[in-house]
Amino acid sequence: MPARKKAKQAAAKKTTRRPAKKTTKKAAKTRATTAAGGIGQAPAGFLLVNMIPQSLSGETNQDSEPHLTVNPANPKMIIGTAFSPNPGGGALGPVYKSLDEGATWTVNAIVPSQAGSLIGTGDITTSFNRTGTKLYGGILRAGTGALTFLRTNVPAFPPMTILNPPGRPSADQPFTHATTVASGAGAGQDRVYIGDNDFAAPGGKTQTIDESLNAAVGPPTPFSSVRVEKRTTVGQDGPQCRPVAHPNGTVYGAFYGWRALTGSFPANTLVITSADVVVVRDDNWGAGGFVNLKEPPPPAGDGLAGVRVVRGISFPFMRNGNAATGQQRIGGTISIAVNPNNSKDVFLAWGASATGSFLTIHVRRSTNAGATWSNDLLVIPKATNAALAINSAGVVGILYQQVVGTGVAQRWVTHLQRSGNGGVTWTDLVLATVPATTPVKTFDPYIGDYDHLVAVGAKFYGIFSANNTPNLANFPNGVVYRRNANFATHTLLNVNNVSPVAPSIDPFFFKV
Amino acid sequence: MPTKTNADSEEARFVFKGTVQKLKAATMSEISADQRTAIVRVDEVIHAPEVLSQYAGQNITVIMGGKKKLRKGQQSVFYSNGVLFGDSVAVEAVDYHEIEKMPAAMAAAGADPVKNLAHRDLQRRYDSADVVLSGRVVAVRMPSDVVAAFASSTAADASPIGPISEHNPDWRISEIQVEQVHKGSHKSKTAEIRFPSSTDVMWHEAPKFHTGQEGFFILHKSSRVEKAARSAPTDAGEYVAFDPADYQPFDEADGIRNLVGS
Repeated sequence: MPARKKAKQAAAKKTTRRPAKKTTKKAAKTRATTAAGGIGQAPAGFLLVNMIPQSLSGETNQDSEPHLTVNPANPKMIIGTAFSPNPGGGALGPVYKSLDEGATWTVNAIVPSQAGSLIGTGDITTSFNRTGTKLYGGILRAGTGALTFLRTNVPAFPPMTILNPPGRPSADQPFTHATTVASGAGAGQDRVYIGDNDFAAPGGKTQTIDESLNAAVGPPTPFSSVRVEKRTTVGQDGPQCRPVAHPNGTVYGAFYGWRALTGSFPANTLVITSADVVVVRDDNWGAGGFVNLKEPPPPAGDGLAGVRVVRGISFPFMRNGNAATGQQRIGGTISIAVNPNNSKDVFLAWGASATGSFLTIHVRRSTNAGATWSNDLLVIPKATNAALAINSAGVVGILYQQVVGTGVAQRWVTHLQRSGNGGVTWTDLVLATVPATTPVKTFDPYIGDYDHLVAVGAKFYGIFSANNTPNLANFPNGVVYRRNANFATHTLLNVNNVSPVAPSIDPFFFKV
Repeated sequence: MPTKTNADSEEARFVFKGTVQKLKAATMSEISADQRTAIVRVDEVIHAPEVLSQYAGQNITVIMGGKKKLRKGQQSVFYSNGVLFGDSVAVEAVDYHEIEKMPAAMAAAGADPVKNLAHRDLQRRYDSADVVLSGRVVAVRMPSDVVAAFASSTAADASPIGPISEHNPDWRISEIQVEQVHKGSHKSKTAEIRFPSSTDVMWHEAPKFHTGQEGFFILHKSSRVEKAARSAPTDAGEYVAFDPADYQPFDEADGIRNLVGS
């Protein structure tokens, strides 16, 4: 066989893609009429990519808990993160970087870490500012676990600068959102909001938004800890705190207020028996302490800042995932998104237990800036990792991962549902349906305690982690691999394109 | 003549013999080719993490960190760390020198670069340890703070006594029956080692001890390890183990046995 032909065949083996079907008016009409509960076909422009580059074809890490940010000023530039070690083992942890809108990815070591760390970093989330000149991040640093705020320059991406040296102990799950003031007071200033669960907060009211209203300066960079929990807790709140800002300076936050619990975390029997899902709001970039959204006085409410969208819900807070939960530990899920065209239009998703469901995702909408909320617009059983976003056309999207089946037939199915009519009807796009029993987890969390979805303009961009077996049946709307893989034999291959590599958990990027 | 490596070189995770193919060039479009960059063929990998262990024969980009100049065709030992991985690989060289000046220990390294790196890491862990023991785990128990948490959580009106986080280390204390002391001073016939039993991402790499386990224990005093001391101000255990190298089984073919001289 001529060498050229041989090389062409080898290339076909390692990168297999089923192209997205072209959208026709007829097809679009069909989808619209079958949207409620129907499985959508991938529209034109849909792309799903395994983010591991070719040079790391031999890696078998559990690259879970992914997050994503898209440069609003240049959507071709995207940064992804996950529990990935530095492949080279140096003193910096990696980010995944794309400069071609997600078609190809490099792994770039720029995150302060610890040499030789097998995890690269603890929890990590990043966000570009609105002008796309800076990348911000919040991490739990490998080695120390310290809550650490980061910044680097774009597009050079030198190693990230620590904005709060040496970091802060006893906090959890930093969730980063950054933007830039477009006009008026503070124009040009970067505003950074990092939601976290700060165990050092007084009185057990641990829900915190660490904010900087001028984050491009320093270090020292001015950060302040805003305690957004105003009610009595069981001693602490849950780990999730999700901030999101509208360009007009309205900033929302959503979290679980823990009110009662039973069982034992070390024994993996802990259940949060009563929690509130709370939404807070600040109308001046967070400068007012997130007290602009208050409940009415008794008896209708308690008059405190932060509206309790639901009260008294229950869910497990697991130390370890198990067979029933697809190896993933369960501990709640929360996401909030604001319509870029209307700061009063907000969608909220959260998880709570239900009969026969370890966690059921609920989606509701507020059209009056969080004061009152709709009934459930979506109810999704046995699911977690809800991530909401709203695009420039007002279409809301929700990414989530759902356990289906039991035993060896059990699968993690990753969905993107979208609604263009305020959540009345939804179109479902299945991104991946992969075995939930393989590979066996090497640590908790198996697929991550969150994934992420963002909207820039009319497009949705997302990231999730899943079993990476190269099998097109697992990716019903197509997938692209850059790492070496043989889709005919469902085998991953090492950098020599010959030696087989065991399946593992990889991050996947998509856009639509 | 073999020489000693400098401190930066000792931190390098990817050490290889290579031949400079092209100056002011790069194998990746994301790297701006300039006087600091060169395309280098990897001739032999000496120390490497797993994913870089099969790069012999391939061209990669080397970014030079110092002021030393390379020349085309030059053969050297490069001490580097990976910085960018895409269709190719870029590494930052913290140092390089002629092959003849490779340190004796490195020149005598085995054929497996992953094992070589692991051995180097083990050596460092050994060197920094307060005590190295061999022996057997005779019991594993909960420290008093964890016991208190359990007691609290079984009460009807349970409330946590401390933070509940998915990243809790969930400390345990293993009691070791000491067979031999290989480094440092330890006079008791038993030793208590605190270790994180959590399988959370932050702690999963730490050794997980169980009763009956035998081997070498490479130990640091709890009082010297901030995160152990902070997590458990009382009942800390005399020593702590959380690095994967801190436990080495008896049946490990070489490595630790070479260090302890047995």
